[in-house]
Amino acid sequence: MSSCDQRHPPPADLLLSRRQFFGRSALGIGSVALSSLLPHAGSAAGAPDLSAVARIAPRARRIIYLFMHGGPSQIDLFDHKPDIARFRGQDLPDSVRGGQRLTGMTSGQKTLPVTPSLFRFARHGQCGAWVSELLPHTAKIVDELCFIRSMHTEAINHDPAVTLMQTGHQQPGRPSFGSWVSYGIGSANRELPCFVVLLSRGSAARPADPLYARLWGSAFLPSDHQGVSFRSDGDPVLFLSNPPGVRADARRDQLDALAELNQQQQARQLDPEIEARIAQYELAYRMQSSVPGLLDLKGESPSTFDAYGPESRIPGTFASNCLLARRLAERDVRFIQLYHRGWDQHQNLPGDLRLQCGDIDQPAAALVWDLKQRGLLDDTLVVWGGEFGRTTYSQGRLEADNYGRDHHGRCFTVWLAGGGIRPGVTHGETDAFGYNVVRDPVHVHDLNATLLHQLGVEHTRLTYRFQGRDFRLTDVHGNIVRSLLT
Amino acid sequence: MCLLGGLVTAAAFAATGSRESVDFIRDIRPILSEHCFSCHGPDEATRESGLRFDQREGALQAAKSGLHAIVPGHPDQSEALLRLTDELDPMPPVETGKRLTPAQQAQFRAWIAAGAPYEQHWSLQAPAANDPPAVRDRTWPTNPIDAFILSRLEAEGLAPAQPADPATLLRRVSFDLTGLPPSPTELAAFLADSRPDAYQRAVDRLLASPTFGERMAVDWLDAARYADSNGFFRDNTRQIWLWRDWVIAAFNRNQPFDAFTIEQIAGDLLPHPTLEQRIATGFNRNHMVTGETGVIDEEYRVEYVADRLETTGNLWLGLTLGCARCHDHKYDPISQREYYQLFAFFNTGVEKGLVNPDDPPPVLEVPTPRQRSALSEAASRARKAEAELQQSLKPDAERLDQWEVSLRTEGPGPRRESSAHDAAEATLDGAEEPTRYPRLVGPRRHEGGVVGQALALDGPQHLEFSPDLPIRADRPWTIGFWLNPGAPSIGILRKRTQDRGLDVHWSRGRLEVSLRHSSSQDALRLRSAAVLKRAEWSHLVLAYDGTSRAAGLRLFVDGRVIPVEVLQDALSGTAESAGSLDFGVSGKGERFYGLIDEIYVLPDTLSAEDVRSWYWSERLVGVLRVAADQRDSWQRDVMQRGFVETVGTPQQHEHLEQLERARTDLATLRAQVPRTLVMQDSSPQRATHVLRRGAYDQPAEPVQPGVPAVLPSLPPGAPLNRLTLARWLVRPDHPLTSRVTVNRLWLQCFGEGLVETVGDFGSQGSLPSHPELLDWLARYFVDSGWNTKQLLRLIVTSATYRQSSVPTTEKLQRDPTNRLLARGPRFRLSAEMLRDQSLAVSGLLVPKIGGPPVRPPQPPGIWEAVSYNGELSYEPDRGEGRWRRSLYSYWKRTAPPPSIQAFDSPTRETCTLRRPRTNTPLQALALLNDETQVEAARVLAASVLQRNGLPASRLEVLFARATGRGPSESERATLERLLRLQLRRFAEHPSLARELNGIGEAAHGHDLAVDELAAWTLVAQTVLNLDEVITRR
Repeated sequence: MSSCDQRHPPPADLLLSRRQFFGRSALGIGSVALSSLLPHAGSAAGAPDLSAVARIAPRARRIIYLFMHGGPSQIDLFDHKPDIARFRGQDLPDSVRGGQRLTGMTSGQKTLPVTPSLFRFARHGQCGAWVSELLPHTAKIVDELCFIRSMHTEAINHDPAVTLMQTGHQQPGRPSFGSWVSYGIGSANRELPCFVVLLSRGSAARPADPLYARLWGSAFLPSDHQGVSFRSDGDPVLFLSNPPGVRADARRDQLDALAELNQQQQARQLDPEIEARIAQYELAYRMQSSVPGLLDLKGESPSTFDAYGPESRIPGTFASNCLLARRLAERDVRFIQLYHRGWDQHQNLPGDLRLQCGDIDQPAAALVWDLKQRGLLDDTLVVWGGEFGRTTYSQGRLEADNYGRDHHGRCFTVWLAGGGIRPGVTHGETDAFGYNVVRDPVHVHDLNATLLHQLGVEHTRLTYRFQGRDFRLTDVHGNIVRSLLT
Repeated sequence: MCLLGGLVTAAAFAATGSRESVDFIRDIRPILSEHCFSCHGPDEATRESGLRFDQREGALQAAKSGLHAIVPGHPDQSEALLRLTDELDPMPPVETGKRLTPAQQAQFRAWIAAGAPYEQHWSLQAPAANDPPAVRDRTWPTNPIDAFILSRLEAEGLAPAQPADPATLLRRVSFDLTGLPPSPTELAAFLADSRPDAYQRAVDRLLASPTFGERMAVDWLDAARYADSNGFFRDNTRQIWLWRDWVIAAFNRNQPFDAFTIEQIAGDLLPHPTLEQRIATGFNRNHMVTGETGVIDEEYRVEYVADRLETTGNLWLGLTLGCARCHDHKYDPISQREYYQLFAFFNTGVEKGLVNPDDPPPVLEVPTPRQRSALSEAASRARKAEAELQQSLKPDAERLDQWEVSLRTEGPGPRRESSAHDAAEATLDGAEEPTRYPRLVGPRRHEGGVVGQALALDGPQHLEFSPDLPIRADRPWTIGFWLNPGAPSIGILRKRTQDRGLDVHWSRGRLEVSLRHSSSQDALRLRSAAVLKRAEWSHLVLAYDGTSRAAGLRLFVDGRVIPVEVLQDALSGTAESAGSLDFGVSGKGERFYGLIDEIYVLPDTLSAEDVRSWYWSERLVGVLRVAADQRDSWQRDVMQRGFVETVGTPQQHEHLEQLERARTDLATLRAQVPRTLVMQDSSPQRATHVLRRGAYDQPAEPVQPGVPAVLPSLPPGAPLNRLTLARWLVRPDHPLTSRVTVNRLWLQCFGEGLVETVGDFGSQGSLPSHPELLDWLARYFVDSGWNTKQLLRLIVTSATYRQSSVPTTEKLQRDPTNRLLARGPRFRLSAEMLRDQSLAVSGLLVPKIGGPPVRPPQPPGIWEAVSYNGELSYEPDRGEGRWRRSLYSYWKRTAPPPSIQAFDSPTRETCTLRRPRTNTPLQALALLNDETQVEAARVLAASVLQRNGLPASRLEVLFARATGRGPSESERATLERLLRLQLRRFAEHPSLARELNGIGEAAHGHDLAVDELAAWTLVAQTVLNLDEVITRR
């Protein structure tokens, strides 16, 4: 968990010196050196110079990232392609595919039959956005949403594609989005982690693809910036609960004794790290009540549960995680990352996609509404999307009422809401087959640059020197998509 | 204080050498590298204006504009200097956000005025032969290291600190060299040793201890990105722990670092390589691999080679070679072409990019001597049993023929009246008859089955049988069918409405069967041991006798009853459901992926003999189609087994059983033989090309293996292979390898390298705090024959290392990060040391070295939350696996051990040479609440309580066990107060005490008074959490 949680607002001149350490110093003093400089920071790590990083006025204080792991089918949900009905079952023209590479799962397939969506689409809201019948609740809030139909990525398989989305690089070794934000901005809440991760599994029959700790890891950033997974089984945060038989009063006695003893040690050792350690033990004690308090949904009204749907009462579901996300946002947690698994519809898409949408439609829409009602949507940016889209052709046989779709990186759809993003907008366009972007392409790096911009961070300035290079979330790419901004 | 600290540290650096003159390496090259090289540096493709600052000729010649950037001796004619302050068109350009400080500008000017002298980047020059400098205080230094450190301190006007007190020093050096605290005996012996060389003797003892190799291995495993899983996507398990054990042994026998290098990089290419030398090459197989279907093989194969090169570059050369993968290096003199020349050395393996098996080949099987003899014993047992079986079958040749005839005439099936049957044949030509049962819901597909064809299900389909079938609690019934599962977790069948009825599914290898009436209370539930294998046919029969008892429901796989665990045996209702009997879906809606064949539903329960005959009648259909004299040995074998199992004599039965036991033993033994990933070159060698933009599918011109021009060249005529490269890395005059290596060992002892950027000695890396010392150590290391233990001995016996780590206020302010080393180093213990210390102090530590990874306790649910479909569970070891040193804990890359992760360990996905050190509340929680920590505290408490004595003396012992010293009066008072409070609490609530005492598996202390043990456990825990205990000072 990030040091910034415990950070007293540092004076500007301190930031300057930290900046010199972290940002540009050719001498490259690392985090270890700094730990002893920041007696109250609790830890070595810290934000770089905010004056350089956060030179833009932030439009969002926090991000809630609803990650649909597996690659939701844009062509069955948002990117309406009625005209391909007449090509149904015909081979996708080579001119459309343009020699682009396919995954090993369909590259050997004899034909790539064009596969129109089985689902009905309609225009919704004042903005008239297209949404398929699978997402009736989302359809009701389209005027709050900004759809990017022109997302694209080079990655065509899960591991590299998710890793690219979340770390800016297909191969492991880079910090995750949330850890960059923790490092760059930190959190205003002193009792909760800066970067919280909530996991859920979908209802689709297909096995859910795996996740990896690196998706919320900190890589070469100081490790206190890694995401903290809040779990629905057992301890909500690893090791949070006292051991059986140890009640809070006994623990309090222990911590009092420990603090006394450590203060004596500090007098002997003159080590600011000891004061920091005492503070961390106190913070740990406070977390033991603040985290369960956060996770305890008893105080939520029945109408709230109704809004998020019946599953919101079942811990560990996406619906329950959405409700938690709102509670985390209320507590000013900076980066709230949900992963919902099971969106990998290679086969049996009509059945399984319906189940997946059933998991997320109502709660995601409720989350946006709920944030808006509570005045939180203005400074909370909600992101919905996966690591890539799905092919316009069927993987395997195209049946009368069944088909599958392979991974597709050439185009996919995400939606954004709140946080200074223009509502009721559909950005970008794909070709008649829904295969290539033909207008306003938005690369993963562009999306990330834009999200950071809304947090008040210039993406080219949020850097960390590692192995001689100033790394950043957007690598050497990324353009802010200004037309999405209010 | 923070601000002050920052400034003073910067000043400390600036104080390297004399301030009067400008030094190119110290002052100018870093400015050029940081501000200029990215556009005017080594990378030709992006070089602007034809101007480069990384070489003197390039900086002095006229740029495209005709202007001269640098005119030696004439700052005012030097365009580069003028542009620094040019408001209209400044350099560096505004958008870079980079700017030279006035001080840097002044240095730049002074350097040009002095003639703009250039020098090769410091780390690319051979280490200088420095003599230790003269110092004023001749009494303090104990070896040459101290002269270098002291000379600098004297220049700064600082004095070294007092020596650390002996107990603190022994604790420090014990952790640094063995990763463990000194035992009470070791400490007492050391304190009592009044010989002048007592400390040297202690150091020698530590260096000779087998725990030395374990401690050294941890850092090497981080660097080598060792793990017990493959890393990408499914993150399957892999075996490469034999390599890990090789590393421990190599450190323990003090293998010279040059040989250590050569064997790991090219042990397989040595003449007549030993088994050990081949195991050593696992170093280059530690990279992650993927098994994600759909991945393009060559793309990932190239990534693996790049990973090897990156790791080798960081670890041996301190170079960021990866920066030259897509273009020439922006800062260091390494071209993209040279990158691919180095790449070519590693681009030789036979391994693939997309990997199917858990242990991706090439793999070495390494049976232990005991396994070797057990294997040959089992093999000879199998041969003997086989011979005996054949002998006993000889007189029965006629009966066997008759039996075969009867099989043909009677045909396959249960030979009983059935209520329903589906042969899963594609006779309907795709046309379903929706009004008749059984009927298929969803698209129909068939593949070859056990009898004729089988029905292929891939999720959407299921096969419906009539709801009228009497599958209920008060009737006997039998359901039998063949399954060939294609996914790890599947729904098999259901006959259910709401919660009522029958449900069968297969999860993590186990079958789960439930027959419910209404609520979860009124039900019968069974779970089998692991049965059914993916992608293999199994015959499954559920035979129920209508008694509503768990004992009345038997499960058969392949004609044999299988053991089950009864989860619930409380069925009283009829469990009758109006739902159809559906195959291919479970009650919860889980689907079936795979093949299904020959489904029968019978209105009766069956005997074991009936089920066996049924199984064989179907099992042998395929073999019966082959004429007897055309059958291969496997087919003959199956026929014989069928014969013996169904109609054989008791003697034949016995022989068959012996044969099967021997075969099972053989298979089990084979699976237990350790394997390890190794390097192996393909033949002929793969050609290497420069890859445009680093992309696997963009090959440009071919290249031969080679090394960068700026470094020493390869010996002429040497074969261009890994062995030559490895030998080149450790040639005595290599400017990088020795410096980089001694710097890492310095980091191990001081918590910081002389060069802080331990993996980057290039242009963008930091400068050494003590360059002359670094060079001296590098030469010393090579001259000693790359003797690691000798170098460590020199470091830890220096007066520098032995200083007290307590600063003065002045030193803390002037040098908060202790770069000058006017005091001893102090830092929090590493993740492994923290856990190992608790185990060692409590006495729980099992000091066994090496072997397969172990699984100590961790909170449940961690693997399920990330693994494919949640199918993997972490099963903690019972017994000694819980108390081994942390470096043996199973390392899963997508979910590393949480108690280790909490303390800054890497994920082991990429090469890591230095761990950060943070201080977080999650660490406090882990130390206070992790099961192993609580268990260790109890065991420590128990061992103290089992001593005779007053509480005060027990406290003394407890405190000393953890800290190495007795408590002060006030410390004792604090702990006594804590103890009294807890004694009172637990006396009032003995049930709480019992709960606390019950944590963990160790039996220690269960003979003691519960309240006392619990109270002392909390005191022990408090002591184990002291800063003094978790920090090495």
